[in-house]
Amino acid sequence: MNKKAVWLMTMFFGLTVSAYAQTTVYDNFLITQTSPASGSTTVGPLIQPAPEIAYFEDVSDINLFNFQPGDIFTTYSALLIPMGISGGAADKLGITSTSSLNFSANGSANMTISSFDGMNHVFDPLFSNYVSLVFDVKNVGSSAVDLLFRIGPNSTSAMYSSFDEFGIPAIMQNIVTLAADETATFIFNLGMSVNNPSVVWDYASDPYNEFYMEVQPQLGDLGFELVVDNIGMVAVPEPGSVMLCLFGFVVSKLAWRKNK
Amino acid sequence: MRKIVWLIIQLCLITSYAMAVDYDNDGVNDDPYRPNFIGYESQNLYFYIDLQSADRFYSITLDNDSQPYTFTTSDGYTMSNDNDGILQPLEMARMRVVVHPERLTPGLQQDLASGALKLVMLKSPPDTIGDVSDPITIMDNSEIALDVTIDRLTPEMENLAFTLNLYNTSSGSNVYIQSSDTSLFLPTDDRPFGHITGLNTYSTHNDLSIISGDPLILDGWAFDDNDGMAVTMYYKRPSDPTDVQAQAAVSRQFNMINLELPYWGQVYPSGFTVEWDNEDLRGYYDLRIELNDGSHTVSLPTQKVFWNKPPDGGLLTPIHNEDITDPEILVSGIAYDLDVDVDINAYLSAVEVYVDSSSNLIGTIPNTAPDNDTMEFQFIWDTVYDQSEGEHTIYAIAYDSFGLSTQFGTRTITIYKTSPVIISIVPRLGPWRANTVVSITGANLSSVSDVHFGSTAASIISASQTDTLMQVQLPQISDPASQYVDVTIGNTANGHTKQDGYRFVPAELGLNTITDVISDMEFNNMTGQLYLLNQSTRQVDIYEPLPGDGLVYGATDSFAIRSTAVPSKIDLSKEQTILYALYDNLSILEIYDLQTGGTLIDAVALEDNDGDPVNPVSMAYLMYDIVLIGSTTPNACLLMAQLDTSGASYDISQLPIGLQYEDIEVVPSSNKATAYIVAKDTDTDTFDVFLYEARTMLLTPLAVTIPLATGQVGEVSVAPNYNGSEFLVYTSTDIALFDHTGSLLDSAVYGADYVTFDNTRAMLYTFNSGDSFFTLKNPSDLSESISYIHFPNAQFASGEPVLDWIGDKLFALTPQGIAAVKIGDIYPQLSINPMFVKSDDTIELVAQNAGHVPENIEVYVNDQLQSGKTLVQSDNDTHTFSMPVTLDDDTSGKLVARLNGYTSKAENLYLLSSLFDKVADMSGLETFQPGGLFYDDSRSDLYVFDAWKATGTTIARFHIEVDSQGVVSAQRLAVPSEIQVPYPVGMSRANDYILVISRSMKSCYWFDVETFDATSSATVLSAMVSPYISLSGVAGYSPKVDIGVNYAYVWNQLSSGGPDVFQINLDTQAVARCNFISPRTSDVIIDYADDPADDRAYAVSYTTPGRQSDFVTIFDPTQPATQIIALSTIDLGSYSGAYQLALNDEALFSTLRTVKGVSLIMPDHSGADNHVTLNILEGSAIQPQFITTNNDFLAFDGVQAGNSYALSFIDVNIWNDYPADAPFDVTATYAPASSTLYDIQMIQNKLFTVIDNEIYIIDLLDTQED
Repeated sequence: MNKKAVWLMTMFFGLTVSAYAQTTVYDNFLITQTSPASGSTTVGPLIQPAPEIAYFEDVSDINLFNFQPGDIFTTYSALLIPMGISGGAADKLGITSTSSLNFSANGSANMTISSFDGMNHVFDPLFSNYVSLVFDVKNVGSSAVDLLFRIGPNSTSAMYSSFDEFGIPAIMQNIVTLAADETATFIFNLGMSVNNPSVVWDYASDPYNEFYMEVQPQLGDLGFELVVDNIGMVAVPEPGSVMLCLFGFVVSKLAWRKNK
Repeated sequence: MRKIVWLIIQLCLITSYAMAVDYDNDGVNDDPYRPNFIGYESQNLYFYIDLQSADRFYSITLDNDSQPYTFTTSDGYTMSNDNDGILQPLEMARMRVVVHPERLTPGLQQDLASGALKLVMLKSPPDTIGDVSDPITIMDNSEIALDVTIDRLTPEMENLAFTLNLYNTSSGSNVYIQSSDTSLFLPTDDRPFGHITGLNTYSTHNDLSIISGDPLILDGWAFDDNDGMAVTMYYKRPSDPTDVQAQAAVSRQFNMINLELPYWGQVYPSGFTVEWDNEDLRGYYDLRIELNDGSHTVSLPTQKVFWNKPPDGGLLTPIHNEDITDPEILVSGIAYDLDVDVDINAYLSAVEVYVDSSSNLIGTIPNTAPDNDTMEFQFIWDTVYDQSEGEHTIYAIAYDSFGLSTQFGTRTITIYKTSPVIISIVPRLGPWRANTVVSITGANLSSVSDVHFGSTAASIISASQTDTLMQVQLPQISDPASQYVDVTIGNTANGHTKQDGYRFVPAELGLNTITDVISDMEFNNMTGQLYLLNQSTRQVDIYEPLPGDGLVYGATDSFAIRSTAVPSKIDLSKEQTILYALYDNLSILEIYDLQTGGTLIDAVALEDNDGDPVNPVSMAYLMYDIVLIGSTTPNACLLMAQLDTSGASYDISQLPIGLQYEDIEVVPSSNKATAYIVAKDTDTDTFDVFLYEARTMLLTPLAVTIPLATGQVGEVSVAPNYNGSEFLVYTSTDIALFDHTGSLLDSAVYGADYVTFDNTRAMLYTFNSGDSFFTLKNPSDLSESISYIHFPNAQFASGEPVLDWIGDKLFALTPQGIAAVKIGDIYPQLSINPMFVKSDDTIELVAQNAGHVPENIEVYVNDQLQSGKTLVQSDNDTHTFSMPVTLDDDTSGKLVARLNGYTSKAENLYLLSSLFDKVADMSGLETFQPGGLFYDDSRSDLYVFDAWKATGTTIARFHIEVDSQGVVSAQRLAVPSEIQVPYPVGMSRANDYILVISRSMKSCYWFDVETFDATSSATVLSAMVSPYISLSGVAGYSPKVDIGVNYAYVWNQLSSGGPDVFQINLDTQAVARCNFISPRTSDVIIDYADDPADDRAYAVSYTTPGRQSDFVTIFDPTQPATQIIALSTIDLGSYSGAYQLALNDEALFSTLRTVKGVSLIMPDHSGADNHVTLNILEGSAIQPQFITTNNDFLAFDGVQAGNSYALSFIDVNIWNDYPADAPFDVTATYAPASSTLYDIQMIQNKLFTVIDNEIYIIDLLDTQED
């Protein structure tokens, strides 16, 4: 197979081989649910075609999120920029990204998304139709930053720490440090497991809970600049599409080997 | 022989002077005697050959400027060699050349006859060697001394080399003598020089030049090789250490001195003229001219001047547009000269007064006290009738001793010798439904046969007509209009008009004759209804405005009250929804619900402490459903009833004012915040006054007296102003004004049956039974009677008139019905723009409903008449003025417009003054951007921190003092250098610990300020919750009673998992998490009590739009963190965005970012969780960010539409609650263009506000005493 054919195959299956090389995948997060709420399984992402939550191809996607600075003097900005992140979550979602969210602040800040906007379910947090929540983050700032994830605000713990006898976060876990210029793909696996019952995203038990991504500049640093992109749900795949993907993968690997 | 040689050399020099040489063919004549010089020089040249000397055939020595030498110009400029070793312009140097003949070339040796040797100076550098001067013949074998002076040196150089050529005239042999060969140079410095040649001096006194008037003109000349040399003038007072650049015009021009100093050419603009106009400066100054060529600054000799300015003055009488009818009048005024010094004969000499022209002098007044800078003058002008009848101009001229004069006081007068003229009209206003008698005073009135008020003809009452007084009867106006009209009088030959002489006021009579006995009348400000308590029918008759102009009231409804009793008094609740009725001789108070048509809610029995029934005669409903009841004998007492207006319960108690009284009357303020009680002891003919404040439920005796005749105590009445901060005590003969502490403010000798304050303006209305008019008095000067106004149809009030809350309508029951006078129409309305100013700003004033003569409008700022306003435009009865701000001393102003004594509602003008301008030491703050403010109230220290700065000074501390006049002073104080943490985002205090949060270090730092101030050293401690948890703020806690607790509560606004408040033990640095859920805590505030057990802390949880309700968690701050639980939570509603907290003695406040407002919170600490929350503001234009409060004001700032910033404040003092407004309306909003606002902090009634890189102090002005 010649190189042009490889390229065509790659495009056809939506894969860009080079993208995987620059993306670190963090997929050891688990968000659990306890009891599905009545009727929740019928609620899918409002943005169609599902399973998009926010691909940041349109500026209106920014309005799905809330941003909060770490203190009264910290200011943040959340802008759509013409720079997509390819590979990573984009591939898992089968999309090509041309723009993304630029999220920056001169202190710590978080961005949150709720399944429930007070009137509607923006998307289904019960995940029964999906296997994972995925998204890409790239650190475009000059310093490393720490990313902390949790479900809240009312849950008493987060998925990144446990507490000592004084209630101080003692064992830091699941905190991801993104070096400058590093790109990461986050995969939050969804399931019925109750391994960590504190990390529950279930609007039946608390419809106001949100998914947090808190950005903490490291000690002594000030501020951050991230690019966030390709937030979506990975659906339970149809058998046919699984086969197609496998076929595509095999073909591309073969083509790659043949054209080395 | 030497003399001959010298003469020859002189001859040669003269020749050389006459012969211009252009050896480099550049078109410029070059001086052959000085290398690199351009221009000509005339000087002496000495040349000696010393054949007796040994060694070298020549040697050179330089004297530089050590020669005695003086240069003098024809205009007196003298310059001598300063012997500093550097040759400067016009200084002379000497080069001495010694020739040793034995070393000369053979050719030279052969012809060493006298005159054989010649010397010529060549241009330097030597690559351009050539004859540049006529050779100088050496007539003797000695030496040559060549003197040179520096003039214009181009290019400028520090060391000047030169070349000489010594040669033999016969052989042509020569020797080049190059100074550079022996490292000899002339050190030069081409600095500017100049001379002051003159001042426009009026006279001189020793070395003092007296300048009289503008402009000051100084002439001189100055030279430099830099044609762009700056000539600048500076000035200073002789006693001042530093001088100031004068904003003067400097021109340069050719000066004849060029002919004496031709080196700069014939066109060089050496002359300069400084012309300076400055109206503000006068008196003694030192003037200094500075020459600056870019590398040198040279000052010319200081000129001492006395700058005399013209005197000025003002004419007091006659006034502008005065109509003069007398043959002689008083002319008076004041003249002043602000630069008086008799030692140099500077003084105000005289004033002259003229009419119409300089040929008509009517008075000369010499100054008999020249030491004084002010001269009062007056004289009787007894030749008025020498002038023609009609309009004339009178003016005065003040002269000073140096010939300056100023014309002032120019004004128009009209002389009436036989023509009728109006001097005054009394009253100046009246109802359009008239039949009103108006008096006109004036001159030559007996001939008047026609009087018009606008287009309305008035009837002359001939019986009263004299030359100086006449009365007219105004008819009912057929086409009424609320307006000023001109009053015109005339006889067959002449007439006279008083512009805006009379004001028609809308007033109507109901003409619904009421024959029943009406014992009380109240106006419902909410519904616009009048309630008449009808004794005859035992019902409340309801009157409403009938269709038309809203001034004719007719009965539309009624409801029955207790049928078996005789009602005496009614009062309305603050919300005007409940009516209280009191009954003579029946110890009962009844409560009626007006919203249900007068349904009886409850009847309350009135008994004293002994259970005896009382005889109630007066009543005051106050806030918080408190009703005070005064009673008369028997059992006279003061009762306080706290009523549940649902009728469910009530509580009555007797207030302790004493049992010696026979009659107790209570009178409420209009806003129902206070009441005054007059307790009369008729046995002793004495009375006492008490103040009752509803908010505090305190009864305060006041020491108040007023003159009383025997038996007059029964007449004593009181009248509070709108909030009771001031009150009147009056009888039928005397009146006195007191403040709420009982201090006498003013008194006058007149009385009234009723007196009432205007709620919005500085005005009193007094009424007397039987009078067909009421009078307008000035509460700032009780003796001043503004005017009086008739009731329509000349009716008289048969009971106490009532005024609505906004002072718009006045109602009186008359025998012919209900009279309604639209009193509000007579007042001008004032608006100002902008409301927030700095002291050098100019504001725009618009006076509406202000007549047609803008000159009649007076503007007062804080009761001071302003003279600086300028009319911009007039449109009918609306006039726009511009006026410079005269506020100072950090004090804002209350502005009113006054027209004929009618004062507008006051408008607030808020002054902004800079904190940093008050601070002497601003070191280290050059790049400091203030962001946050923290006030240590125990030491009056304001900490300002820069939340965006990493190094250097991030925290500045200022000691703040506010004196009794409201003037703020600030002194910079030190802090430990270790506390200058990067990016401080929060500060607080616990005991003596000053706490700081660093954003980037995620830590809390603290030091003991008391120790630091005592020793200049203090340890800075710190604590961190986690490197992954940002700290968003800090609240220090240390109870009033020392129980060994010094805590800091810090929080994480981003939320770290529900419980987001942490406690730091400041003594042990231990950190622990408080055990309550407070997600996204955005603020914590401590409420201190006298007993630490009652201390409470409030943490507010800020959620995001569309999420759960925001709430405040109450916890006990004295406990260790692990034992802290939520004692209670206060729900602030969903979608509210509660964010920052503020606390005063009355309530807790929270900003609401989402709904853009403020919530007032009254926490319930009883355990019943009956918290009261009231969103006192919603839908503000501002999304509030920072908040601060005291007991008077609550202020907040933030972003508004378009990302601009604004600041609002609310008067939260219930005393200041204005009855016609909602209690928590925004008082004022400041939105500076293109500025960013950050933290705000209230210190006393000064609001400190971070605006851009400044901190401004805004005086909030209003106080309880206003």
